[in-house]
Amino acid sequence: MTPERWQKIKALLAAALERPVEERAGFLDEACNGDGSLRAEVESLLTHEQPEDEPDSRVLSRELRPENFLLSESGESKTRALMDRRHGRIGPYKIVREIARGGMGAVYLAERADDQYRRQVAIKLIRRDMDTDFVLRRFRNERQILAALDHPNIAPLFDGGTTEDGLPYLVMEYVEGLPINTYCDGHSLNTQQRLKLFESVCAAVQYAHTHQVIHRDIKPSNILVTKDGVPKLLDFGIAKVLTPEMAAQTLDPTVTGLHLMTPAYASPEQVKGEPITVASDVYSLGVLLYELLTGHKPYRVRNQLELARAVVEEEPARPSTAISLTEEVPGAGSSPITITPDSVSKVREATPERLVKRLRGDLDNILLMALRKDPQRRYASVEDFSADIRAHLENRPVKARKDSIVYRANKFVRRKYGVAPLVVSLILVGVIVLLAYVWISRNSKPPGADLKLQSIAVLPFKTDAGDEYLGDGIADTIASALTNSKQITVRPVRASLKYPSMSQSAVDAGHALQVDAILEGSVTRVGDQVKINAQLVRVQDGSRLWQSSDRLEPLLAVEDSISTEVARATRPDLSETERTLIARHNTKSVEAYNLYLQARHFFNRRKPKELQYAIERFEQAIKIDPTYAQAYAGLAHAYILGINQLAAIERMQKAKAAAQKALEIDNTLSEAHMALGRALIFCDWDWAGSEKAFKRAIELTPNYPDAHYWYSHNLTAVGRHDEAIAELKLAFDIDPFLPRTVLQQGHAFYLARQYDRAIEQFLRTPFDVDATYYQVYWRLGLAYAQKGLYADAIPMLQKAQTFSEEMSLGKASLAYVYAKSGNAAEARKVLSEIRASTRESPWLMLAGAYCYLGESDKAIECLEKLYEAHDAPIMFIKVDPMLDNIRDDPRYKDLLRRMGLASKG
Amino acid sequence: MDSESPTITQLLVEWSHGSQQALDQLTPLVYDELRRMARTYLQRERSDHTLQATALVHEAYLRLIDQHSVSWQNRAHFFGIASQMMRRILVNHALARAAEKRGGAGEKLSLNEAVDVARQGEVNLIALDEVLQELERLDPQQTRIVELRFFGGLSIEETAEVLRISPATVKRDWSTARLWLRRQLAS
Repeated sequence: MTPERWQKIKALLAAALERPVEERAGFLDEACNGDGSLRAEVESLLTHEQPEDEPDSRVLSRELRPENFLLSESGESKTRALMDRRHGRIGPYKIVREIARGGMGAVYLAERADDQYRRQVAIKLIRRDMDTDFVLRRFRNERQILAALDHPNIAPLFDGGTTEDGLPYLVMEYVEGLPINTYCDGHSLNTQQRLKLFESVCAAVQYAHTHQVIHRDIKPSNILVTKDGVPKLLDFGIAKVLTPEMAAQTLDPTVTGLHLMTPAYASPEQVKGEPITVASDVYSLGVLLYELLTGHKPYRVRNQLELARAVVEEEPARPSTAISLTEEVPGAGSSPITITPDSVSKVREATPERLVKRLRGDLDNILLMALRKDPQRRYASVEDFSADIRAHLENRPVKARKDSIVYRANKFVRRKYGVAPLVVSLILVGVIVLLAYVWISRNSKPPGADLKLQSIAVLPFKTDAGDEYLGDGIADTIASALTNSKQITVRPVRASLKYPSMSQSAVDAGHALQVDAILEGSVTRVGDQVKINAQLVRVQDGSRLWQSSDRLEPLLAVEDSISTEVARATRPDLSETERTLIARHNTKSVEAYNLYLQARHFFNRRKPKELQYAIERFEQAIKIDPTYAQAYAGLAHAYILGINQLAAIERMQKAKAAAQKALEIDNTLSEAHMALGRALIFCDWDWAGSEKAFKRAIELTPNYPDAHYWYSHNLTAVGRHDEAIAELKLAFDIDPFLPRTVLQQGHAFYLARQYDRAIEQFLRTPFDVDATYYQVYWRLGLAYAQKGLYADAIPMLQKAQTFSEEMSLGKASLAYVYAKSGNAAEARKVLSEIRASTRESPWLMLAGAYCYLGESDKAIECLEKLYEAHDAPIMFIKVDPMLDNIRDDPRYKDLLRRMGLASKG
Repeated sequence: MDSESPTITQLLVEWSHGSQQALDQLTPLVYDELRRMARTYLQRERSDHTLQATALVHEAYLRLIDQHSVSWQNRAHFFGIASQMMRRILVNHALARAAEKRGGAGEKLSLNEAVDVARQGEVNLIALDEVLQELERLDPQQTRIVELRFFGGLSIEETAEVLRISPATVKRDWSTARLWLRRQLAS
């Protein structure tokens, strides 16, 4: 391939990727213009697309994930385990030879070294990148159930464990045999013989089902037939041990069950990630029998993406017609095999004609019934499936037919042809209407209606120069209004400030902000009114879902009308309450509203000076309209974030007053509940009241990141670490762009004493805001110190120290680390350089340093100062590892009691 | 570091302003630091400390660069070279380990064995490096994009900034490179 050629291929490939799968073939027809080899190249590349591919993901493939490259995997124990295996051992088992190697790992033939009677076993060694803990936990849960399976056609599971290098392994009965499809073809079994063999397979699966075990991964390679012709099912229940069913159980959303399954045999519900029942095994058995009887798979697809779609949507070809196909399938090696009507018939019923005749009718119906998309419409059990096959073999009527409308109509017409054509045509009309309805509901919904948007970002509206506050103030009020919908995740405007409307394509902004839809627009003043242009764009394809051009409205009406219309365009299924909240009325005063918009504009920038401006403007707005609830809420929020001129306790008292005032007027404002929750801690140590307030805020607007963020602080403070970390994850998912959330995630891990995860998290802090860098250094330094890595901790803290504003904090932290590391002299030297006079003194760090210097009086003194100042770090003293040395000091316990943090009893 | 010579931060800023000489001086300094850090982490394995390679690039940045005096563009440039180095370090490491195993045991380590001992990552990495060299011949810029994203941990936007191209181009090149790499690796 030449570079020029690659550019051509790349351009076409990129264009094809942007189109929906079903339009690609048509597009390539046109674009390649008869250049067959060009088209073949692009198509071959397209087959490597995976369903989880996202432009933003840095994963190259399942094996090539950036996070797989760790720089410190333990070499020693791994080398030992490697040597073990090279010398033929896994745990207490002696390896005889390797049997197979696949996606999950390798399978070995082995025997127990210390066994008196040498039983041969098969050992499945699980690959490294599977979640080891998860596999083992699952295995422990399942092994009793699995060990109870005792059936002549099931290979039992004996044992399991972990190798020295941490690879889980499972020990099973060793079965010598051939995969069922190879066996049938190799022995040229005819249809009847194949059906009989399949019945024994069904008996084994049915037996397991009565013991509450679903196989989940039925496929030919899991069904071996011994030389005596006895089928044995392998890996019963293993899929459950290995498959995380709920993505929620793992932190990595890309790990879904589908990866671990064999997609060709997976049921629609498995593909969709829905609950798995015995009906899934019925389906997989259906695919297996389809293949045994016809030599073909039910769907003709080129890649896994197409397969997944076909399994969910496409009707399988009737088995009796499938055998007339000629197709290329992957062979045992890399070369494909061509299967033809002759090749499949030769090993079954001698000729294609005979095979067609054999399959047509009963067997067609039986297979299609097993393969129905809806699990409820398949055979209710494997037993029913098997019973129908027996019925067919014994020439009795099969159930599969009776269930089919077409079959009934057929019979009816055949028997009473000419007598009741009206009835027939009525049935046919009904069927057509039904099909049409299904088709319409699938294909002709207006764009947007079928695809419910999950997330949206509102970009700052474009304005005339000097009116910038109007642009992001309006965006902010619209975004806040939309947050009242429980179904839509709204990125806070502070995240979208970098992407003003019309400064880039909405699709680009949407990708950057990781949302499904973008609302952007412009606003211009025209006298007392404003002229608004706005559009809602779907990021996936750039289509416009809603727009409003040159609308003239009074400024006060804009927020309500736009948010209501956008909410409707985004989610047609909003509840009445949500609609009311979104269209909630604010103030009647244009002047107050103008001030409010300015306040929000400053508020979103979050720097101390700008917060001060915001507070002033919220207060002015309140002066003009004393019933302006949202202005009180904004004021309360601004106060909890802090301005330097006020002591913490004063700020919190002001926040509390403003929040309570806001709630008196409108008790549905979650911003006010949230601010109240934060203020109640510092004003009154009212943990119960605070929890109630946060819960109310979250109940009102589950998609409000700030509520989750601040609530997590409470949970961490009282040692409910898992809940805290979960709350922060929610905050992060709603607004991944705010550095403070990522930092706090790290801090929550730190306080939960999971230092490695804390470090990982600190290193993930977004680059956006330089100010946070001091925090990254500082927090990393402390985390290294807790791990005892002082040589790493000290340079980090020295860097933190160079940030002049926070000098004393950096110094005090250094003193703490020196003291903790046993270097008392250096610790005292650094301490002597700190002028502990200002209100902002780093009391907690100082307390930590004194703790480790053995000066508990001084440590307690510092904590008392921290308590008096009501400074934020006081909140975490119950869990902070720095204070471990004085946990038993009665004065410390008394402090906890005064803060309402003493443990009961 | 010698206080007479320019700091890494200064070199980075100069390079961003177009000084090739600054880049020549900067490269070995950053490379040494990355290698030193990588070594430290490898020695630390007994303390059960693991760190992702991309996080290491990030940490090197924190250690080496003075946050006060750099701009967003400087940051991007740093990641530009560091991610390329990270690729070399990881691949060299993988090759060295493979050689060590062969030498140490006096037997040739089969690919299967390598896969087996959970050095899957290393085997894949060596293979990835090979196909990236192929891609380099076809499209050097696209190769850079893969390095920045995969080895440097950069986002689409950050990558665009480093290479001074549009995010849309990065996205296109990344998505197509991903398919191409997969196909080459599968064959």
